[in-house]
Amino acid sequence: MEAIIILFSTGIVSLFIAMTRKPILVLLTALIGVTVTAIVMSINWYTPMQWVKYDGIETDYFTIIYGATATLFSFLFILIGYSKFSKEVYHTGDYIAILIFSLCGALCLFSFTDLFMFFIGLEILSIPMYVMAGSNKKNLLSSEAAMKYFFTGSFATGVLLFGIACVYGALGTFQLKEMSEAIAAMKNSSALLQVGMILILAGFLFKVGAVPFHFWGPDVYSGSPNVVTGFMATVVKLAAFCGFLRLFQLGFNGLDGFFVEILIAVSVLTMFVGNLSALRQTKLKRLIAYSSITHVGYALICLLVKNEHTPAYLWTYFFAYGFSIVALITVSMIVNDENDDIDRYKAFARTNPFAGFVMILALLSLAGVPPLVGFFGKYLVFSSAIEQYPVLIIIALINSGIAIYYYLKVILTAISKDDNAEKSTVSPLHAIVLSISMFGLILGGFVTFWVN
Amino acid sequence: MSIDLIIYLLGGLTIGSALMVIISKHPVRSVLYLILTFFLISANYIMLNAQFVAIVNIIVYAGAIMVLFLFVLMLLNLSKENEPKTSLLVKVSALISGSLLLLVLLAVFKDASFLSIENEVSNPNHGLVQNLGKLLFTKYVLPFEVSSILFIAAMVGAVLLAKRDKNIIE
Amino acid sequence: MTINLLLLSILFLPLIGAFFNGIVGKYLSKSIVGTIATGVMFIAFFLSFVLFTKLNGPEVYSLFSVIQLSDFSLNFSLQADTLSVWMTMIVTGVGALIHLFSMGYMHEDKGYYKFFTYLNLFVFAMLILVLGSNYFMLFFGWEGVGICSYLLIGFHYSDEQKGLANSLAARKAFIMNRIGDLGLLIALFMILAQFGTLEYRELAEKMSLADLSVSTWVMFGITLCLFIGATGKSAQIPLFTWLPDAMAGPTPVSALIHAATMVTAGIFLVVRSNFFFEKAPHTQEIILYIGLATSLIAAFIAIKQNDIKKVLAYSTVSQLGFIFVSLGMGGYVAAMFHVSTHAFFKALLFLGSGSVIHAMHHEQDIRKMGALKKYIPITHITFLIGTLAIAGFPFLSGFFSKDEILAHALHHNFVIYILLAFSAMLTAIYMFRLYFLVFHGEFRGSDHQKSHLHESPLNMTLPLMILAVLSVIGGVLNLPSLFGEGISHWFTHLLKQTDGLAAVADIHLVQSKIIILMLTASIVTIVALIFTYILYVKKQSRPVEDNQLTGWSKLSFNKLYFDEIYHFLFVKPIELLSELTHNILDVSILNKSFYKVAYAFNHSGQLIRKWQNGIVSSYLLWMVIGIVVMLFYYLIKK
Repeated sequence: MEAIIILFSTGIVSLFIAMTRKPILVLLTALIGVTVTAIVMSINWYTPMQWVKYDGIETDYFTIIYGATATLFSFLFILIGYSKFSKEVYHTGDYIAILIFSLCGALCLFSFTDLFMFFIGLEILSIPMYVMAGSNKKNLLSSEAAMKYFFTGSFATGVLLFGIACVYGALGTFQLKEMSEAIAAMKNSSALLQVGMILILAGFLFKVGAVPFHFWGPDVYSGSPNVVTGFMATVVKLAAFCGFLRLFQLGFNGLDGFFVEILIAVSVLTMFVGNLSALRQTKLKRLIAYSSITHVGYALICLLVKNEHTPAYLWTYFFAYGFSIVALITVSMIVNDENDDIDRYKAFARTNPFAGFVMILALLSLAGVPPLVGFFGKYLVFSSAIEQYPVLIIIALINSGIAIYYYLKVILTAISKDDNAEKSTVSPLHAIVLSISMFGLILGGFVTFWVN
Repeated sequence: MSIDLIIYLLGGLTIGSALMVIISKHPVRSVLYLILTFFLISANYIMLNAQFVAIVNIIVYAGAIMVLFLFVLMLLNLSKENEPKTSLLVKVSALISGSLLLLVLLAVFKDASFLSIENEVSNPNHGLVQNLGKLLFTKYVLPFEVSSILFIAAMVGAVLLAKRDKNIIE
Repeated sequence: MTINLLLLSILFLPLIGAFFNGIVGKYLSKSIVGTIATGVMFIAFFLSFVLFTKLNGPEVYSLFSVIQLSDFSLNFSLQADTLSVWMTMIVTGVGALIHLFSMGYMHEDKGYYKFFTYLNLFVFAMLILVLGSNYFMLFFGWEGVGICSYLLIGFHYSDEQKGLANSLAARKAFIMNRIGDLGLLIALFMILAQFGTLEYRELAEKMSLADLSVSTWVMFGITLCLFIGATGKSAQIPLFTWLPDAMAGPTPVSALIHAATMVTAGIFLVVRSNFFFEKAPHTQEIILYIGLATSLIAAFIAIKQNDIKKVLAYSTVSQLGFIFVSLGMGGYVAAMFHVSTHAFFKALLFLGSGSVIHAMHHEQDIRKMGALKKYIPITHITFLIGTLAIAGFPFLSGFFSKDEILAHALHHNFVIYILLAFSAMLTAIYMFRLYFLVFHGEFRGSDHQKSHLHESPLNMTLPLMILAVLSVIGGVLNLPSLFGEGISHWFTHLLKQTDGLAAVADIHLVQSKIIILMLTASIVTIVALIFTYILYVKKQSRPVEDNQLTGWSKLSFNKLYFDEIYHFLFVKPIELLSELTHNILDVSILNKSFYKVAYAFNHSGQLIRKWQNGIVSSYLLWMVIGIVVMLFYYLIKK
């Protein structure tokens, strides 16, 4: 709760500071605010602050870990995007504030205890994203992305709300605790509840971009400004996953039977569609979009396994995934190509050895090559489910194999020789972010062990 | 005339006018049907003993937002030529899947049991602004306040998207 | 210094040398590289001598655990007992001298720093092998020396004429060794499965228990597999053909690795595992006969070889066979004794041959030599001493060590004694043949070679002299009891402190028998000496050209066709099989199906991409379809 208040104030203050027309001040305010948020959250770990009490929000360890991760990634994305934000002096504050507001929504999703907060959190998370997707007004694709995201997103929200209404109709409460008690007390399952859950599940699958609710993903990812793409792929996805996981686990006592079968089917479909579509992509952000769809397929496996470690595994997975995205988005900002063609990265690793190195690390981590952090994420998720769903894991492994092809293709492009290649300039902020993500990629595996 | 009959009649009318919103060819007519739909929804609210929500619904949606919609539509100067063309295949499949959804939902809800929350609805003071305000500032103060973040974000976003930037005009 | 610290420094000095030379050696002058590599060896030898004097009783020093499981652990630990420290002294001592020799011998070589890096690395691996306190360490060192041996045999891989042959020789050695290694590995797993540990001391303790509940077949399997490992490294039948080919490496390498140290690893393994072998009489018998056969066959082949190093190589194989005979009879001490003296005189002979080759400008064919005694006097004298020592000339080191093995044989079985004595006679014959052909008669090389004949520099002759002295006096280590109780059997008493060896019974022959033995041996040697002298010096008989050989000499010259037989029996069928699998399995099935799978994925990717058509209404349609399918599925399931 404190964290949300501090973040919200940071956003407001950034908006006002922006009136000075000095982007650097906005940046500093935002960074300080986000850092303070992170500090407050980590204090909460040891001594829970309870000066504002409300039963719509509850802080537990997972809230803090997820919150800290989302805050860290937001911090990095604000840093990455600063070079773009600062070009439009009039809007610097808007961009940064909107990202921060979206993060507020994410924090709500990490800690809600009733469906009100869940829904509001989800909307706070999404609406800024609709806006940010279209924030590059010079680019038609960006506007298109915003429109598509908004249309499909509102449809999904409608479905979700319908689902929530059905669940309320069946259970008569919005409190997660009371919901789970009511379900436990139910003798035979109610059709209304089940339909509500299916519709909520549909909303969830849309938010994370699973097949067949994934279509917005590639279009929106490739149309949005790079930073927004990164933010959507990491923070939004992490928040949506965590929020729905919380809802399913605390509110619906976990998913089983029928839902497990649906999730397995969706997971397999998602992996294949994401991977196979990615094989022939020629644009980096579209590739990232499809690869993120595939990763959603892997992460869905987490939801199938009912044990107390599930949130930790899910967190590990997205923690690992996030660093790769941060690195790739930074690289795409450095290259700064309108068309975003992968060919544009030819000889990138030769002209910019450090950035190229981090980029290769990021791709290898996405592919799940040990000892990079991506390997640990995959390993934990797969190993947790291998006993219950061996066939699914084998399919997931096959897909990991397919995925290596397109990651390696990008790597090969980056290290190939090209005499005409020019050296791109790396701004200090980007260098810092690249170093951080490099450490994350290499040492992240140990952090995940420590947290687990 | 029993209460039930009124409720079913209102429900049918609401669905019918909502359908008309989609079916109508002319956008202005669509908007008018939409306004009608909102009024009918408000009538439903009143039947549910939620007077305040019903009035707010009329003021905000039917009044403010819909008028805005009308103005926008008139300014856009829509004509037949630039109407987007959807292929027949999409239309047919949309029709099929939509009706399938309806069918499936009907099949599921056919024997679904609804919780009855009779005693709360039957209280005539239940939907008054006083009760609502009390709830909003006590039990549901957090969602109420947190939604301010949503509105701020939406406002900032609207400004961001709608503002004319000099460099774009050039 | 404590024993632990001594152990560590001895072990890691060569490694440090290797690292230093390997990383910065390229930029340093040759003298610095050589001095560092040789220096660490001399320090290591000095330290191992100190360790030897300080040693009382076996001591195990555990550094860290490589794998730690609930019921067993693989430890990186060292063991200092008389056996391991004695081997360490031989390895570092002989190794140091050979390093010194190499400084002169390799001086013209471009890969000077690389050579010393490999040599030091080899010594490190060898030290791990002998100093480890368990079979895991032994295996680690075992593979390490294998790799270094491979690298050093093929050291001149870029040579224009012989590069390919050198690489092939290296490959052959490596593959032959791998076969043996497999045996060793199986033995290790069997030991681990049976006893749950790989530590020598624990195993020795378990084996010494009276109520040992291990079936004889298991013991037979373990010991046989261990012995298969030993045949690979120590070049016994059937895995011996790599050693003569290994002479493709530079001569100091042949001296260090393929004569003095690495090839004795198999013997060391058997001596270390004496507690197993003592419980497996069948294996001992196999070892005995294989050793005997190897000894005879190699000696037979050596007689007609014309390459100076090949003669010595077959001589090494023969001597190793000799030692295995001793092991087969339970004569562990005698075996180690012969290993030590053999290290002295065989290193001496190889270095001497290196000096000869150096003088002859890399000519190795003894038909092109002759009368070298007046051109290279120091090499001549030392080589003569080495020849006499290996031939078993009375009162030189080889005489005593061979005698002890012969004594075992006599005690064991008279036929074996006769055969061994025959092998010893063959040894004397081919060694004297070699000596006379190289150093006596008239010079048969080209005029160009004659004008350049020169004695080697001091850093090459000094090791020769030291080794010559050792070859002469080496016998005092373990004099027979004939020479009085006080000074005799020193080495026996020393080695008895090693685990398991104390339990092995000594043999005690009566004095008269010992004298008869020694007399017979002396007579055999001297007869051989006279015979070859008459043949090669008086009659000036010369080896004929390759294609004029007939009868047994052709058989000997062609190495009994071992390579050809192996080629026909093993290589050909495997090549055929692999050709077959390559064509059928790989090209037509695996490769094709892989291409097909890749194509299928790629193609379906192309198709699936079209699903994403960019139209929002169709996206929404698909979402609705998704929901409908889910609800429909729910209806069915309900």
